[in-house]
Amino acid sequence: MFKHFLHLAFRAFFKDRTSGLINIVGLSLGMTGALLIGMWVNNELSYDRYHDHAERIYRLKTHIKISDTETWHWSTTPLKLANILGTQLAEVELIAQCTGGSGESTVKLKDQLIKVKQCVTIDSSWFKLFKYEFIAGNAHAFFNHPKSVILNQTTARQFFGDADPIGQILRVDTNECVVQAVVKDAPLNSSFKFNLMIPIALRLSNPGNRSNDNQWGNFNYNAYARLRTNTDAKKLGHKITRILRKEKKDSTIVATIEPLAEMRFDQSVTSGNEVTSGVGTIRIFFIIGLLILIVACINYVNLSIARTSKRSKEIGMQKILGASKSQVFRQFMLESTVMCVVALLGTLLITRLSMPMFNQLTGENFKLQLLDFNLWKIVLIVLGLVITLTGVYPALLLSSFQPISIMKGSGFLSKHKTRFWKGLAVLQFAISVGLIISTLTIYQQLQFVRSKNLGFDREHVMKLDFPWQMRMNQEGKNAIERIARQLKNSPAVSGISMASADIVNHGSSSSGNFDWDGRKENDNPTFAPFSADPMFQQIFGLKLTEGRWFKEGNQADQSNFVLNETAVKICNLKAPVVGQRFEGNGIKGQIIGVVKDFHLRNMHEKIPPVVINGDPEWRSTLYVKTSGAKTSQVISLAGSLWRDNVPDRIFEYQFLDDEFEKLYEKDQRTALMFNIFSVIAILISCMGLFALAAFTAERRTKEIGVRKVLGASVSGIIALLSQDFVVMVCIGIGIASPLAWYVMQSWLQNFAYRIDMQWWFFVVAGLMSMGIALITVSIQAIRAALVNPVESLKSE
Amino acid sequence: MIKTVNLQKVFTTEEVETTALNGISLEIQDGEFVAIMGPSGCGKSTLLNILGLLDNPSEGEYHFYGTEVAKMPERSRAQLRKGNIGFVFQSFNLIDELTVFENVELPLLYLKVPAADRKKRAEAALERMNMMHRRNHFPQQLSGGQQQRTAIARAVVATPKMILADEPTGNLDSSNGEQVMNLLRELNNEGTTIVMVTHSPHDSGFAHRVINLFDGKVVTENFHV
Repeated sequence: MFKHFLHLAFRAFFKDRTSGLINIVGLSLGMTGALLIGMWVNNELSYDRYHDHAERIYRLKTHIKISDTETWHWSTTPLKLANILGTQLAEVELIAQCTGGSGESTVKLKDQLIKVKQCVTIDSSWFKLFKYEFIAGNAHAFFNHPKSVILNQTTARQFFGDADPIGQILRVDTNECVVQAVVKDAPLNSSFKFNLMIPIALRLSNPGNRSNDNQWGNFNYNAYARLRTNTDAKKLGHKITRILRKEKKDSTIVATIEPLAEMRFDQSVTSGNEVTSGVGTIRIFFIIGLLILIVACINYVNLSIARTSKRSKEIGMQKILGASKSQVFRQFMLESTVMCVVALLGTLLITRLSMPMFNQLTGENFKLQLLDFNLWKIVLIVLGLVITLTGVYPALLLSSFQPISIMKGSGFLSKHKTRFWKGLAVLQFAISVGLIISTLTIYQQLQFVRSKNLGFDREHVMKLDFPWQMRMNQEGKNAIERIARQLKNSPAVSGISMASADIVNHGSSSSGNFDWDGRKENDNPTFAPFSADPMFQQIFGLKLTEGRWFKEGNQADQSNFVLNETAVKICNLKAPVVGQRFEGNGIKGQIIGVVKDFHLRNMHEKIPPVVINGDPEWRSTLYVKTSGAKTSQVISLAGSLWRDNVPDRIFEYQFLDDEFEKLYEKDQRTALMFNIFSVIAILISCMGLFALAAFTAERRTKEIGVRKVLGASVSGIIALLSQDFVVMVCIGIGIASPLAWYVMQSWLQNFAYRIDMQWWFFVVAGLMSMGIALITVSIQAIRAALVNPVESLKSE
Repeated sequence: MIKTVNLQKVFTTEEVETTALNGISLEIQDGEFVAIMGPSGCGKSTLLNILGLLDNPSEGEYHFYGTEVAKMPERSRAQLRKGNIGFVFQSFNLIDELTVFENVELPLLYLKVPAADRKKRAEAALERMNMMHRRNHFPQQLSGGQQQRTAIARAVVATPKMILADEPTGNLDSSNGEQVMNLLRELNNEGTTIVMVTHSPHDSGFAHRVINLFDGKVVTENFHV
């Protein structure tokens, strides 16, 4: 029986190969979308749960109230807190710390300088708290000898190839360290993807670090605690708050603890480098994944039914010859299952091919590992859903008819209600139109951002960042000066300037220590402060609205300030602004000029109040403006100067144009994502439309035959069949446009500087979808219109 | 034997009622060869469908070999049909995706006959109809006459009590048609009851008895010797 069904299934498929193949491809695409999203969602939701007793591990957070309106949420704590909590609180079973911060180190291996990201300093409880798999060496030696380092597998291989890494020496920043152990790379769902670890003892062996870290005002460490079972987290948070307030002598600071598994989704934390995801985003994608699957299945069913209608005589005959309802049902369920399994093979192939792009989009590193049980768990769920969704309805439909109604030719196409499918096709097109509008909007906004006048020239400017340690001693300062002078003298360089910050992506904020005449008691706005030299204005072409910039050789200017227009407004300074008293960050002086607002952050944020001072103490960023023609010359000159003067650091440089692009990496990703989704939605909508058109053409075969006999032309028939669909697409456009407008307006609100949505976005989207729809429909319409009426009008 | 008493069949669409059969009472004995004739629209095919347990009458009784089947649901009718009635259609109605052999063994498959037995019986039927040499071909590769012979092989493979034939020679030329009618006569001589709907007076000459229908009623019955 089974063999018989299989024979029928395969032969029926081959008879109508093209549409069968289109059907399977459509299903594969849908399954791929669902599978990828399923993998991503599964990974996100399982973040950090793999540690032993993960449900009892918590992270410490601190909350500092800056003003009535602003509280800073940090994931870092002072160094000494962990030990105190560990000894004083019975609820804390174990507590471990690691350094927060950017986690980059310069490693010197033999004679080569390598920059390593994701470096961390850990304390001796770290491996007791978190699960690691040691491939070589062990943790004891690591903690017993401060000058040690532990590498992960990838990094060890990068440095030493196949040789044994244990016992090898690396210079990490300024310390010669021995490799004591190698651990397996962290799994995909881990927030701790460290490449290199050194012990805290090493960091604290530096007296500067030790005195710094021991201060209660410095929050440099992430602390994680494993609590005893049934501990009340909230109450414990209060206890920790009390202890912290007492030690720090601060009556307003608050400490809380959060479960480790929630760390990934905590987007309130402003310090630290953990990448986070929004729970809302995950939910949305889960729903999108489900929708893609459901829509793909529905389209598949539609097209299946249209194709199967040609087999109605066969089905009728089977029933007359003795097939029972359940046998027919089983036959079609089997056919459906076979098709789904074939589609699954296609899915695995497409998934494999799209992995690189998917990884780029998610920032993760998914691999299609066929031996991974987790993968198969998701695959089987998706497959099960698909088989159920695509098999049951047609099988039920086909098995339930009376044989003579089929023999008489009334067929079962009449039983298949089209209103629902039409509504669905409209919906699919609405989604496509919406996505096209969104893609256009995002693209335009990014273009706007790229071409908007920043208020300063960023072209052909190279930036070098000196390690701040160099400013700590005279030798370092001299070296910086040397480099700057040599570069300035180069004919390819048109000017240089030193500053304390990145003009394209200014990072720091400061509040509380500024003062000016007329400031109200509790008025402590957050400023964006930095220091710049006299050449700064010229290099970047900054415009002044009042007064002047810092002058070369003017001693007094070293304690003076230039404010931007926004700062003047925020401080409520009355004209004339120049000459008024100003102080901040320990500098007392006066305002000598007001600069026109310029964008020193990405355009998501409004331009902040900027305070520029003339103090040369903290400037460790060198800007080199080239003429554009001899850039490579400048780069190699800078490189050799660097290597001569800063032998311990890798030579790195950035061009401001490139940095600027990086500011919008997240937005570029969003754009890419919308692009992809638009394409997917259009493909799926086309499948849906194709199926519906096939179905309708099949159903109206007799009518078309009669019309042709009566004299209708081929083009007339095509128009007749297409007009329904034109109406449907128009409705889709009508539904999508206001919704897309609303969603995109909300997205645009993210940008302080944004475009307005143009009317032509909607027109282009509409025309595109109409065009695609017409092409899809006309394939079927032309086929139907060309059929010989003799064929369609044969009676039984 | 089969017997109908006052069979009515009314078809209703949204607004229109069509009476296809209007009080048909007849009896067909085992081993009879009966032809049903009449102009188009007289209800021949409707009657055949009811006799073949493919449809229910709106009113009346139908005794099929002792069982009253007029009000039977489809599932029970299907059970009764299996193995007891063989069908031969004007347009052959072979399944295009199956070979000649597979078409013929199909009824046995549904009767859950084991494979070896099926093979034997199907081959015997094909041999009888002179189609063994084409048993691995598909219907599209056969001529009209060959297709109909395959269909007849399929109709008899389960040794049914009765064969219903709806214009069996309608799509065939005269010599093929003659061949098919001879086959039917042979089968009848071996004891199979045959009820045939036909337009052709020539074909009706093969039958023992001709029932004439007009507007859903039996008008006359003729006997041949």
